[in-house]
Parts: sequence; C-alpha cells; structure tokens
Amino acid sequence: MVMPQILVAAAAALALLAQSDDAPAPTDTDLQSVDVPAATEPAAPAEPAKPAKPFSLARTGVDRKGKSPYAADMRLAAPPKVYVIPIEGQMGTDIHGEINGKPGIYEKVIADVREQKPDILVFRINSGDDRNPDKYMEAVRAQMKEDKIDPRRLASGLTEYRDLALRLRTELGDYPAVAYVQEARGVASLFALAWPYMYVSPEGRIAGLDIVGSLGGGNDADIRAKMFGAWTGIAKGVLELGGHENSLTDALVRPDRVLSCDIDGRSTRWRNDTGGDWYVVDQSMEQSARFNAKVAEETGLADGIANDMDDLMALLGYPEFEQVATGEKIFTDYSALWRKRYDECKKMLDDFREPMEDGRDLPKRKQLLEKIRSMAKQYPPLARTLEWRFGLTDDQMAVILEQLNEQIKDYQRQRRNSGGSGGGGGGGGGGRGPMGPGPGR
Amino acid sequence: MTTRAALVISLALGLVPAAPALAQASGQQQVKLASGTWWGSVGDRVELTIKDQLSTRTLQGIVRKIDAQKGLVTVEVTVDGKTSQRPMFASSIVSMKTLGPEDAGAPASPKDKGAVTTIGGGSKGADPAAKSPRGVASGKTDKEGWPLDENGFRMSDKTPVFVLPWVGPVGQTARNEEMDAIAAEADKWGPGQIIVLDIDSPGGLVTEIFEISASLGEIRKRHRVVAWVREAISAAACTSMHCDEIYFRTVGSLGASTMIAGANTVYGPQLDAFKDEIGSVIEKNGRPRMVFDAMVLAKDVLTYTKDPVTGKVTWHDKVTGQPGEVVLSDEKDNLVFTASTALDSGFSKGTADTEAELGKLLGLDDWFEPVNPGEKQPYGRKLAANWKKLFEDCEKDIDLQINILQGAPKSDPIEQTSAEIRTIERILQWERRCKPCTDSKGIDRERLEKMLKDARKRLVDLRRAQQR
Repeated sequence: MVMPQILVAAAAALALLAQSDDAPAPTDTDLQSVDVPAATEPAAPAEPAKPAKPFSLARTGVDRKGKSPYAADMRLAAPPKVYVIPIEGQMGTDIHGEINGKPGIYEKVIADVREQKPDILVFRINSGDDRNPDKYMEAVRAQMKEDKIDPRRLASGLTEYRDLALRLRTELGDYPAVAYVQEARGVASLFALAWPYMYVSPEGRIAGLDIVGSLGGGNDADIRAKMFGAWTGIAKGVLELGGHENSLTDALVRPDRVLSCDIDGRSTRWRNDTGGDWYVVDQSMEQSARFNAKVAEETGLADGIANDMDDLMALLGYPEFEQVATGEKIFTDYSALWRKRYDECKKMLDDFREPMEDGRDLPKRKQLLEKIRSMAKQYPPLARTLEWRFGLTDDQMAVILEQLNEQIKDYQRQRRNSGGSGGGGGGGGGGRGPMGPGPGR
Repeated sequence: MTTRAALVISLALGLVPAAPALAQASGQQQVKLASGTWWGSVGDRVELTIKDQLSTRTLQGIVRKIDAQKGLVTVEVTVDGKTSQRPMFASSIVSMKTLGPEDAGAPASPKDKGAVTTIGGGSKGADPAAKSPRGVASGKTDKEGWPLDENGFRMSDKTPVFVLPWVGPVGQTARNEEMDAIAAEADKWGPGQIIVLDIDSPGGLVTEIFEISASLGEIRKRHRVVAWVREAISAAACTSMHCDEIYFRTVGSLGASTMIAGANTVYGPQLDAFKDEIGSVIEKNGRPRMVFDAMVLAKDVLTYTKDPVTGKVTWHDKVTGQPGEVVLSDEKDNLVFTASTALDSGFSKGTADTEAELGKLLGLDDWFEPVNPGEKQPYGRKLAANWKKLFEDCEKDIDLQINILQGAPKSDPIEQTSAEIRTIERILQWERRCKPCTDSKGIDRERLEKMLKDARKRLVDLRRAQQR
C-alpha cells in the first residue's frame, strides 16, 4: 500500500521517539495456587507507571513473526546499517544450499553478516528462469513437450531450498529482515514468501509455484496423491516461514485451489473459494495463484511496492541508511567466478571431444578431465551445471578417468610390444584410434 | 525382513502395554499430561500446574499413587498447614516437574515456571539433589570418566538429551539399528532419558517400519522418545507417530504414508495388515487411527473442529460442515501435516527451529548433549554421521566398480579376469560392511560368490594356457 510521502516522514520522525510497549512480566502471584490465601503473600512492590505508547502513524509489524524491520518498532538512534543478501540468478546454481555435502555460498554470507553486525537485512530476490512472467507454467509445459526442460531440474532441489531458507531464517533470526522481491517465478517464489515482511518492486511478480505439483506422478491415484501431497507439503513448509495462512499456501502451490480474500483493516483473511469480498486472486482450477505487484499490495500479501532500495528503506521508515556492500560482493564475485570456470570447462570439454590423432593424446585427455573434475569439486554450482548441461557427474568422470588409465596402460604395453616405435602408423589393432599394432596382430 | 517375520513382530507389538502410563523397570512411570509427559515414581517431590475450569494453580507435593489405568495421580499437598492427599486426573495437569526425592527436603523455588516437563528433576537452580537425575553421587566414575550415582547410572548437573539425526531413506541411512544403539547409550544414564529423533526422511521400505515399530516399542518402555520433524514422509511419518511426542520445525512436513510396491500402490491383504498393525500401535500411542488412515489412502478424509471455549480438538473422517471445520485431507488428497496444521490440531506439541527452542518445549533449562571424553561430538550425531558416510561411500564405490566392470574390456584376458575378481571381491566386502546399501543396489551375495568362483577358475585356466 503506497503511503503518502508525508506519512513516511512522520513515521520516520516518530520512529525516533522513545517508546515502551513491553508487556508487564507475569508476577509470582499469577502462577500461585489459589489455595494459598492472598493475604499471606507479601504485597508485591508497586510497578512504576509506564509511559503510554505514543500514537504513531508509522507502520509496524508487531503482530507478525520475526523481528520487525520497521523504524517504529526498532527505534534506532541513528540511520540503520543495511545488509543486502542477494537471492538472485538461477535456482540450483547461483541460488543453492548444500551441494553434495559441501556448504553453499550463503555460509560465507552468514559469517559475514555476523562480522558486519548490521541493523537490518534485506533479502533481495530476483530469479525467474527467463520465462514469460505472466505465463510461467505455460512456458514450462511447452518446453517440457519439446524435451527442452525437465521439471525436476527446476524444482527437485526443493528440499535444498527449504533447508537454505530455514538456515537463513534461524542463523540470522536475530536480525530484523525484509524480503524485497524484484522477480520470483517458479521455485524462487518460495524465497519471496519465506519472510514475514515483504515488499515487491513495481514490475515484480510472484508466480509459478505449480511447478512443485508437477513433480508428482505415479501409476495410480493413490501414488499420485502421495507424491503430490509430499512435494506440496514440503513447499508449504517453506511458506510457513513467512507466517502465511494455510489457505494461501495451498492456493500458491496447488493448481486445483482457488483464492480470494476478505480484508479487515490491515489484516487479510485468505479463502479457498471465490467468495472473498475484497479480491478474487485466482479462480482457475488449472493453475496456482499468481501475484503481480499490484495484486500483492492490494491484497496485503506484500507490505507495499518499493521502486528501489531508497524507496524500500523510506517505506520502512528510514529516510537515511548506510548500505553494507560486502554481502553482494561475496555473492556476485562467487557467481562470476564459477561461471568463468564453467566457460573454461566448456572449452576443455570441446578439446576433450576432439578426435585423437594418436594414443599419445590420451594423457592430455586425462589431464583435461582431471582439471574439469577438480574445478567441479571446487565449485559445486559448476558441478551441477556440468551435470545439467552435459550429464557429466563426478562419478562418471571417475569412471572415464579409470578407463583412460587403462587405455594409457594398454597403449604403453602395445608400444613396448612393438619395440617402442611410437604411435605413428599401423592402426587397426587397438580398436580405439591409431594406437599401433595390437597384441592380437 | 520377510513379510512373515514382519507380521510376527508387529503382532508381538500388540502385546505392548498401552499409554498413558507405562511401568518402568526402575519403578519410574510415564504419565501423559494435558501437555507433555512426566516420568517419575511414587515418592517424588513434584511441582505441578493444574488447569481447573477457568483457573490455573500451581502446587507442590509428594506423589503418593499413580493409577495408570484411570489416568489418576494422587499427590500429598500441604495447604494452610493441613496435609491432604488429592487425586488428580493426568489430563488436567498442564505441567509437572520433579523437584527431587521425598526425603530431599523442600527445594528452592524453580525459576522456570513455564516449563512443561522435566525429566528426573534436572532443573537449574533447584537443590543439588534435584540437579542430579538419579540423586546421590556414589563417588565412583565409569570407564569413560562420568560420575556415577548409587544405582550405577551416569550423573550430570544438567538433564541430558540424546539426539539421533535420522536422515535419508528409511532402511538405508535411517534405520532402527541406530535407534537401538542410542537407546543403549541413554541406558547408561538410567531410565527416563530424552531421546530426540531428528527426522529428515522421504520414507523408504515399508517392511522396515515393522522393525522400527518393534525397536521404538522397546525403547519407549525405558525412555521418552521425541520426534523432531523436518521431513517425515511415508515410513518416516509412521516412525514419528510411534514416538511419545512430535514437534515440528517451521518448515516441517509429515504424512503421505501410502504403501507402495515397485511403482504401484499396494492394496488387499498386505495393505490391510499394514493398516491394522501399524494403525493399532499408533492408536495405542494416543493418536487417532483416522489420522493414519488419511495418510495411507487418498479416499480417507480427515477434518477437525475445535471447541471454541476449551480448544479441544475433535477429529472427523468425513466433512461435517460444522462451523470452523478444517479440512486437512479430502477424498483426493493424501494427508500431509505442516507445522501450523499440526500445531493447531494438536497433532504436534510445538514448533521449534533450534535445539534451544526445542529444549524449552521439552521443559529443559539448558540444552545438554553429553559428549563422551575423547569424542568431538555427541554419541548419536557421530553414530548417524558415520553410518551415513559409510553408506554413501559404499554407494559411490559400487557404482564406480560396476561402471568400470561394464567399461571397455582390457586387451589382456588375464588382466581382465583379475580385474573382475578384484571388483567382485570389493563388492563382497561392501556387502559385509554395509548390507542395506548393497541390498538397495540389488546385489545378491550368492550370485556374486558364484561369479567369483567362476572368475577364479577362469583365471587359473588362462594362466595354465599361457604357460603352455
């Protein structure tokens, strides 16, 4: 909900006022037996009168889970230190958790947050697989038909993303945080909804979680129900981090649920029917609910629409703030680095695939593959990309290397048998390139 | 495990005495409270909070009688200088905490009034006797250096928690063997210990659930077993429902226990046996059978309503249309709980994302996982990590060996046969070290041994031929 500038300024000013809204702590008498006569208890010292909470036009988030990032709740004495954590790029590679038991890049970010000690965290979400934002699932289905895409690659990392979201929430739970959604399509929507406080950019969208349901399948109705229930249950678990109602999470992950809402003040009550008196978000039984910025704001799914970081911070009540750039640097440096290594790997793979002129090329091939394998071990997103693009896993590389070792040994043996004349002419015997006369000759 | 053996075990499970109170070998008993569980025995000095109509009161006294059948606990309390014995329904007791043995004297006022349950009175700030789970120190230590009490049980000034990460496919990395092992470790601290199964499993072999059921049935006679759910799908959901208490992580999901063989749902007598046997154990654990049924087949419906005044939950196996009814699973769905639906319906006791949060829900002041001297991590965590690593190493190496074996043959037949022998021997070694892994790969020991015998004979023949 867009707030007039004057209210923002008022909110910011009011945020600096001292407030005291702590609930009184329960006294000992609250928990004592009613059998004990009150008169026998020493009178509790009178509590000093607490100043009443000043009236505030500023937005607050005291009714929600998690620490509120709003100025009115934080009451900072100086402009806040704001740390941006990017959740950007491709799901599974740029945005990843633990891959093959190796910690993801966010472990470094978490450590850096603790070092920097910011006042507020901004999780900036921007991921969309480059598909048409309005018709995400249609685009996915079309590509699936053409065998261009495997939905499992889009969403099979669901448990990995769940664990990453939970880790970010628990490890950084002491910091007030807000999600800023620039784009969230497909599985990335999970992250958009994993924080209770969320703003969306004017062009931002939250859509395409029906991809989760497409992970199901099975030979009969009960297996399909089992798989569908299991996958959607896991996805709904992530949305619970954001404190969203079950009727909303159901509609977001299940194509067969419709969604509307009633609004009471600033509270939204979601309904899985089309009877909501405020807004019907989704009336299709074929696709799950989708939100653009306008609908997200008007239904209260998002706290508001923010044009950029300055606007976001102003809406939170901070006319001034200090942005810590280290988190973005860690993330973007790593993304750039593994992508650079990926380009190198592609070139090496091209070289590897070149036809061999001679058995003497075998050690060179082995070296190339060893180098690719070593890089993949160093950069888990690279390993995953090699698997997705070329079907090349670490196990397969291990097997190919083993086979190359055997071929090298064979070649050396053949050379010895032929008097060490080198790998030039001959051909035939080895069956794998011009390796000189084979033992059977 | 064969189906027949599984049936025998599961039938035997039917003989296990039911909750709410289970007699303990040591004299300790389990009492299911309105919220949480209390372990203790007659003669314990306790502090308990009772919900009576609209009021809540806290009393201290000495337990004089525990009637498991009627769910009654009789406590001797002194009010206004008068001592009387008051029988109370366990279901009306909100929390109950052991302060020490009867003769330990009146303890200091406990600080944690919000605590639900404390095992063995390990309350920080209580008197020295209450700090120790077993009371009096014997002055002796065991071979690992832990101080022992007069009963020979390990002692600490904190209440220990034994965590077993139960991760991965059931029957593979998540097994009953590790449950038995951590229970044996907890036994060293005496009965009534808290064992937390930290569950993150997509399920697995249904047959395994019978072994798990048998193990947990035995362990729960001695200890308080808690499921802490990140993911408990299929057989892992059944496992969770075998525990005394279930807690969720915020992202937790639990359900979808359809029985599958190959790529199809199992119907008929096998399914009936599974539903009857596992369903009855779950029901005896205090969970409605219809909850389990709705996880097994899509057609089974589950809804609940809550009394607006008391908050009491009533489960329904059909949509009733009552006001406020929550439909958890309709006739097309398989029931899967999330943290919020589980908590709202009372299926879970609480939601915790960290050990500290779980500790509070369990009634603990501190989260204390004992680490044996010379070890870097607690027993259960090390146990699970070691088994998982062994399983993964086995899986990876067998794939590698099979791929190598199926790769291009060596030009020298003697070398080729020798390589085959080495590979088979290696796989057989894995079969001895990590059978669940080799089983999951469909490796048949007898067949491999025959292949090995043939390969060895072939090698001898080849060498003889070469010598000629």
